[in-house]
Amino acid sequence: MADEIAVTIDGKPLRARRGMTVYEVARENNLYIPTLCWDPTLKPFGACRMCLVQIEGQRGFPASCTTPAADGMVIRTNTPEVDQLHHDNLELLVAEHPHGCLHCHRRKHCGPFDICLRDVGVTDRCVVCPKDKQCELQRTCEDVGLHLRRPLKEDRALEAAVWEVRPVSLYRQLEAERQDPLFGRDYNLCIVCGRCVRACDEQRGISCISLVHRDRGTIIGTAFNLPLNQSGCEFCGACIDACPTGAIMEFSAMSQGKAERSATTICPHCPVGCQLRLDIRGQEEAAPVPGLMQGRDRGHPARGEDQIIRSSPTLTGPANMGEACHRGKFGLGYVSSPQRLTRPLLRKDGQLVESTWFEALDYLALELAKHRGEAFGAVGSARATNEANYLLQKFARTIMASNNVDHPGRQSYAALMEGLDEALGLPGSTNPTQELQRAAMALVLGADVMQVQPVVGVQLKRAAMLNGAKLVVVSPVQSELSRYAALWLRNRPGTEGVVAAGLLRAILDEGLAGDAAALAQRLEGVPELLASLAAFDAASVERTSGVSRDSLVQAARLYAQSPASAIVYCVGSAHRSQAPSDLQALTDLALVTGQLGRPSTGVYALADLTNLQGAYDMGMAPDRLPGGRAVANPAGRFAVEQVWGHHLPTRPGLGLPGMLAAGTQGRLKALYVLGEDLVEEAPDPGAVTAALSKLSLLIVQDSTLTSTAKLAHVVLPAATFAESDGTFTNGERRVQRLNQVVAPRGQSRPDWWIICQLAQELEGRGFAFRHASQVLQEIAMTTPPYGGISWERLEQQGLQWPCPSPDHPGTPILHQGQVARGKGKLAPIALLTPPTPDSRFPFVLTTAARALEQFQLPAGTKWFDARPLPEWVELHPQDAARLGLASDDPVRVVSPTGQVTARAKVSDGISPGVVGLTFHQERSAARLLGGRGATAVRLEKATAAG
Amino acid sequence: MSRPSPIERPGAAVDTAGLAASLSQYRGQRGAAVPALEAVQARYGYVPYQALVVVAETLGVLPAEVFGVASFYEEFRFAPPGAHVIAVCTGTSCHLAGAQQLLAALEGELGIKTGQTTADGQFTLTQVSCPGPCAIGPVLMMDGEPQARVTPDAARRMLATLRSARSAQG
Ligand code: SF4
Ligand code: SF4
Ligand code: SF4
Ligand code: FES
Repeated sequence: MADEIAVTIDGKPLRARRGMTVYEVARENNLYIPTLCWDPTLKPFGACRMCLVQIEGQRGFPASCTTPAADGMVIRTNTPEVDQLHHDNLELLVAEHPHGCLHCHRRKHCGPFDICLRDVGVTDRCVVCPKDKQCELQRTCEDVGLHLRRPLKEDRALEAAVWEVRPVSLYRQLEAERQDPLFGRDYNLCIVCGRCVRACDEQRGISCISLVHRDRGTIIGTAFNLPLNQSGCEFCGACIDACPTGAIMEFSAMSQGKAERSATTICPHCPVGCQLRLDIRGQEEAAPVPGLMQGRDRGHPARGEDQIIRSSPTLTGPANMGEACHRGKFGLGYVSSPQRLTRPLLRKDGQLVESTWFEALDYLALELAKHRGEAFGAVGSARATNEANYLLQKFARTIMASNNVDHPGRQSYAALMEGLDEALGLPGSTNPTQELQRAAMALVLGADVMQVQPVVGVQLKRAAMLNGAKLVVVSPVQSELSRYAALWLRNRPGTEGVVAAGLLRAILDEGLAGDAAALAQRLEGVPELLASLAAFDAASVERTSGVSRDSLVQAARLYAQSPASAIVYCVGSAHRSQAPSDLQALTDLALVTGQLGRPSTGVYALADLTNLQGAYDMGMAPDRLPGGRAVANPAGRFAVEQVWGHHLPTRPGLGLPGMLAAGTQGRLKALYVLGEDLVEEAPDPGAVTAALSKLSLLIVQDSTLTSTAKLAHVVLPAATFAESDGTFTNGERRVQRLNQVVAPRGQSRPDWWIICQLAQELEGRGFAFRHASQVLQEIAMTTPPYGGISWERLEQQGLQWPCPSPDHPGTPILHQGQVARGKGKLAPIALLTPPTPDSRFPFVLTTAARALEQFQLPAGTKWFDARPLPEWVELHPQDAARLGLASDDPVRVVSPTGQVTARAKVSDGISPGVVGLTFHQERSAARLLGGRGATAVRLEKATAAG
Repeated sequence: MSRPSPIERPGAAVDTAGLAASLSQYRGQRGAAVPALEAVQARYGYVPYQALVVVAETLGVLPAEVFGVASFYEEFRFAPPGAHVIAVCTGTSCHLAGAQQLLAALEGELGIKTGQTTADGQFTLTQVSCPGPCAIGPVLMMDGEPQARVTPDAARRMLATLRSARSAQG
């Protein structure tokens, strides 16, 4: 191969590829060269001078991390001169870092209260640093063999300070930065390797910290040294994971002691499905739960107090490859929250009292037997595993003989998937997340990606930063991503579909996709589409959407003519109702231009709940069985009946709204709710409470006592994501393994286990599972796209469905060669009516971009201020002037169906006539929207701050 | 085009729209921080936080990045200069003539470090590198006027004069 070169390192002949640096060659061949500023995810920087080597025929000692390897190079990494240089450079680097322990041979044996024979100040010792034993600087000192001949600094002030026992901040005498949420920074420990700054910039595209020159030298800082949450930080934690020292540390890692082991699993917070490495305190490997199934001994005492103290994304995670966001990094504290339920609760004399599994299951067996058939309903959850959802719907359909199964996020997601299925033949987003960073062009619409699926947002930024991809962002408000956009189409809220139609029309008018006859050869529905497009000429598109003809044509050209264009549609609260028709129009766009079936093309539908795709695939729906089979279709039913050995009810059941209505009317008597707080999430909590209160039996299975659980007759304590095995299917159809990494709190148990116990108590067949992997085995039998998926095969990378057989490698890119259904089917553009303001409601409402200081974490997260975040409403200076409003003024946002109090934020990042709301409180937001997508609102001055 | 800027700092009377317009030539140019900052400093005499935010928005980056660049150039100041600017030469011959002692005396007298401004906004103490008249060191620039052979005592007298002039005024 022409690209292969030969080099010799320390006498070893090695082969390498052209373009690799000397360091990379050494690393690939397991030859050690010390480094500190090098980072696998970042570009070489060449700042620390730790990696110097000797190269025959070259003068001096070049840095191996920045020197490209060349054919025939002879490199030495371990001559006495090189060793001495490594040592001396390290000495310089640690000069300002507390280093008393770094060259002490006893370091590993030292405890926090030991007497130090070398007089290292108490606060200067490695043993008090949260990074101790996981520290790259320590390791480097060991590897290089740091031995200091004398103290590096003879500073009187320093000595004096040692005696006063002050915080570690002695060497640079900087004050530690502790005012930020979630993590702290102590730049006295910093060696100025710049990795955090580069991670923030290169890896995440943010750059809210930089190398700053201060009078005492260069250090890391924000603008004007403001706290991070006022500097644009997204709290992704990339800087923490990059830091080779203890300078940046999670508060959780500072306070909860040291990690004793680590394990990997999947983030439970969104459909990206980031793989995370969790550092855990607590020695014991978690025992697999099924041992508890023996006999009647279902109660089990609480085991060791395992704590998750740190979380970091893994480089090998197939969906995230080293990225995560604030939720995956910091939002896992709820696992060890004191609010957790640890025992089953039973209502006795109107009160929920602690009970035992034995008693609760016995009681339920008796009660449930009274409500078989359509009087029973089950509510699953897109936050729960595939196994939990699969078993819950199987339980409802077989043992309880009812098709009343649903979950709260289903309807809108199913509509999206059915649209994709109809047009292309498969109900799923078409391409892998990671490919987005190699797209030449991406059309991004809907809610702010950086909020809904931050890691996808990072991929898009990288595409623009690293590969010069052209991003076309269609959004009424300016967002973090529009900073990277080649073209920002500032549309009116709710008009994404109109813009898509306008783009289609422009592409056809410009002749970018061939004529009607050529299209008809590849696609169905061409005449219907063309007819429906008649209404979308540039002038009327501009009138409705506010996007000018020129930018429309420019965007259309970019999309149609780039070598690989992807469509990313992000579904936020305000987009739910319009999303299906928007996505249809966008799918048409991909079909017409052929931007499909190749790497970095396709259609990405980004939703918000972790396992929406899995819940859909598992048949957690009143009208669909596993594998998307229609309940009403006898052939589909038969296939499932064969595996289950059970007759199934033939009539589609009630959806969630139907079940609640039936509950109010007394037709539905028993409801089993798994992992969803129906009351809190409803636009109208009163009505839901009323409906649930009328039930004869309400079973709630959750990890905390939610508002819904408080109404229940029986509350079953569920294990959290970290405490159970199972699988999630992420937004790119990747089935990934969730690993039990800590033992379940108290007597809480994995969802699948609880359902199995209950089923067996009711003498149900087909629930004798002893491990989640066995449930997955059955899923593979009933759900054809999962046919080849097994627990063992998922170990590392997961598998993307369709994966029909055990030897099938999975399908990262759908519709390669041709679309799955043969010929793509175009959907005519539905007539969309975006909200029109009138004199009573003169503004159109949209979702505001997240302000610099705002970021959201799941409630109950440790170290996170649990008070609800204040809402902000963004409006244009002209509108603000007319209403006499200034930034920070309290405002009421009123729609025909609800109202929210917020603070005004005057900004010209938003168009006149449009207001953007932060939508932090899902419930009030839902009420405001009243089931519509975008809505018209009015603003009123409020008297008191809300 | 403004990103939400969370804080208003005192002393930052920045006409963001006007400034943004005057910087429009640098829009989207990540590498143009220095000329943009120079324009800001020419306009306000220093770089106020709000102006830094405008520069960042114009270049399409976050404020920290611009701040990082700015901090590496001694010419940029981040707080309004005092009524009197005292700049001590720290060039080689002034150094030999006792510039360090002079600086230390001024720091002690004013109660601030080099590069800072007194709380009453009266004095800013900075360093310059060699304005030229090396023969008469240590040299100190008082509001732009070079002063020759300034001993620590002379400096203290100078400050006293300026202070009493101020209290005489009001
Ligand atoms: S947490 Fe993320 S955004 Fe914040 S400073 Fe670190 S890398 Fe930058
Ligand atoms: S804080 Fe850590 S990553 Fe950042 S420069 Fe200092 S040592 Fe390097
Ligand atoms: S992007 Fe999604 S999956 Fe990844 S860490 Fe954030 S919430 Fe978790
Ligand atoms: S690792 Fe090569 S210079 Fe830092």
